[in-house]
Amino acid sequence: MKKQRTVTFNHNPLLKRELPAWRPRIVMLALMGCSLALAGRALYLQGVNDDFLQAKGESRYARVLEVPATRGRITDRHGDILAVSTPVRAIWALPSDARLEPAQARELARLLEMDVNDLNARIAAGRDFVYLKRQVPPEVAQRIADLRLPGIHQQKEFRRYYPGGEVMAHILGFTDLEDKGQEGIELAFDKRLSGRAGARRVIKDRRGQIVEDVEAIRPPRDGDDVALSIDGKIQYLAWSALREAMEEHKAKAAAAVVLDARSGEVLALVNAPTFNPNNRANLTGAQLRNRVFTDAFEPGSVMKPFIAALALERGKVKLNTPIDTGNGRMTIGTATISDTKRHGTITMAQVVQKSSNIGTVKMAQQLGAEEMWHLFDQLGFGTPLNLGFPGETSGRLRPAKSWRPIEQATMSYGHGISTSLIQMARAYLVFAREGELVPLSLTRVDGAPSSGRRVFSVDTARQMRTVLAMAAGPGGTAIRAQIPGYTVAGKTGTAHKLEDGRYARKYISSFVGFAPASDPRIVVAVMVDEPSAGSHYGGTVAAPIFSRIGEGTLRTLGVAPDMPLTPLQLAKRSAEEVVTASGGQENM
Amino acid sequence: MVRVDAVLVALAVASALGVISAQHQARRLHTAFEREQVRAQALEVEWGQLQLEQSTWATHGRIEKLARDRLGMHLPPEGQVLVVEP
Repeated sequence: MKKQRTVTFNHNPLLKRELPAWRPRIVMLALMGCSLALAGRALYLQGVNDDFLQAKGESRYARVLEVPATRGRITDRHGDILAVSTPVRAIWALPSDARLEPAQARELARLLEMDVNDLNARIAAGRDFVYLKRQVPPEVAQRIADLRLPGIHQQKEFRRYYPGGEVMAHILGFTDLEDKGQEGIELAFDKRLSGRAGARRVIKDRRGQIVEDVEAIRPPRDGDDVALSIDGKIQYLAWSALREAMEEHKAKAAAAVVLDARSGEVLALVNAPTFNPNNRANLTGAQLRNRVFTDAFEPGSVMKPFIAALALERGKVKLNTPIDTGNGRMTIGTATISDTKRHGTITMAQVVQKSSNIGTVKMAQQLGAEEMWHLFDQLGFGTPLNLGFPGETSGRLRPAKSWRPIEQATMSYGHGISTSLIQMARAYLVFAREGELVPLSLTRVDGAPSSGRRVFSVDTARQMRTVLAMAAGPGGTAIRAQIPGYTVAGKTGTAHKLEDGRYARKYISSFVGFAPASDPRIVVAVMVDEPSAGSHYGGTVAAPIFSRIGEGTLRTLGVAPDMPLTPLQLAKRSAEEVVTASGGQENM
Repeated sequence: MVRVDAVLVALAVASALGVISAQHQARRLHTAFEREQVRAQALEVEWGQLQLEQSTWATHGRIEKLARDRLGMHLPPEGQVLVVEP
């Protein structure tokens, strides 16, 4: 039954046929060629082209992250915060990814306090990248993040806050949305304030989470804090005095500066009208102008003391030299110079006290043009202060060679020359500091104040102080500059404004003075532009502001009164009674 | 020969494990470091906000208003000033 099969499974009749010898060799060669190609390719990828591929691979997963640095704080001289940056978020969208349900869009619009149509229009605008809203508070941003909306992203940024608001607005300036200085101190000290963002390289996984910190490319460096010379309290006093005066005199603008006479520090610097730097919407227009620095005006009579001092220094006059001011009119060439009142023959001190133009011109006529120019130059007129403030004006001082006699005459009483308020305030330091002029500082000066440059002799400066004290005393133009308890000295100025090269019937009233007159601690300069409610004289408009600011400043600085008043004498007696009554405490 | 190989293999394995644990350690420390940095930053931010808040409360204008309106304070008139001389 069983039949043995002779054919096995591995028996193939085909195999019996001899293959040609070349065929296995071809296959062999082909296989070898393939593997050689593979090996070559591997060698190429691993060896030759390695760097490029490594970089490519890393670029898929490695990211360089910016590590933001915080902008430095600005403080006043006591360390009170005037400007500080806190982190906020910018909400932005990738319109290609942002497909929001109507409900989602409404919710987002509500959180962003935007109109929902406006929001949709922005996303649909067809750009690659669109900011929905910037400077969003972190809490709101967190709630938006919790919504997990597609295509809506956030980015960290900073917002700068100014707790002082409009009081400090002009001195501080403000920053732009990128936290870069735009105006004021923010711009002047931008280098010091702005930090340098750091960078680090990390590897992120597919979901964007950091798995490994590869290297810190550079650490972030936060901006330095800047301590200003400004005293917050004095600044506030000056601001409120100025604000009231603006209303009272219906003025177009006003400005004031308070300097520390000993160190040359700027204690307060105020402009009106002002603005609120915390509200970005109103960061435009004329209110941003820092008039103290950027506006040059013809100072008028506040210039007279310098001419008087120069005449005194050169020995041309003494305080009691009689000067004939005639009937209040004087002709030079074709021009006529006049006084507001006829003073007749008065002493040199009275010329300054009564602010006589003719008397001043007569003193100036004894001086050379070159001499006067040199004085103006030494006082810093015509040269910017270089405090780094944006838009600082140099004022206008023409070279002495081009002066005509009438111009030399008008310059002696402050016309035909222009200065900024801060230049004028600084120039008055020569009287307050025994004839020396020091550079001003917007930052707190620690340690010994720098030595100044001598302009007048100590003797001249002291004599001029008594003259200026007369000007602010009975019989002077600035009796309303008086501060109870202190001696004051200073000079008023009332200058016509130049409009299109002609003198208009508009005025700038000013007062520059210092107190206490016996040992000056502060210099205060006040300027009111176009007072239009009745009076426009420096003595009635600017001097009372000086008095208010000066009083508050001296009290804040704790300067002892140098002028005993009758009520004070009374108070002193009762103080002694208190002392004896309480058992004679010593060293009161 | 076989023994030497075994030792070398063991060493290689141990070293590999070491690398793994070191890497793990590094990652853990890094996250901890990261966390602390974030915390430090958050504290810094909070400090800034508190300073801001403080100076907002302490605005001279606000203090003057409170002193005048609520506490009924005023500047002493000339006659009431007492100067104590040293």
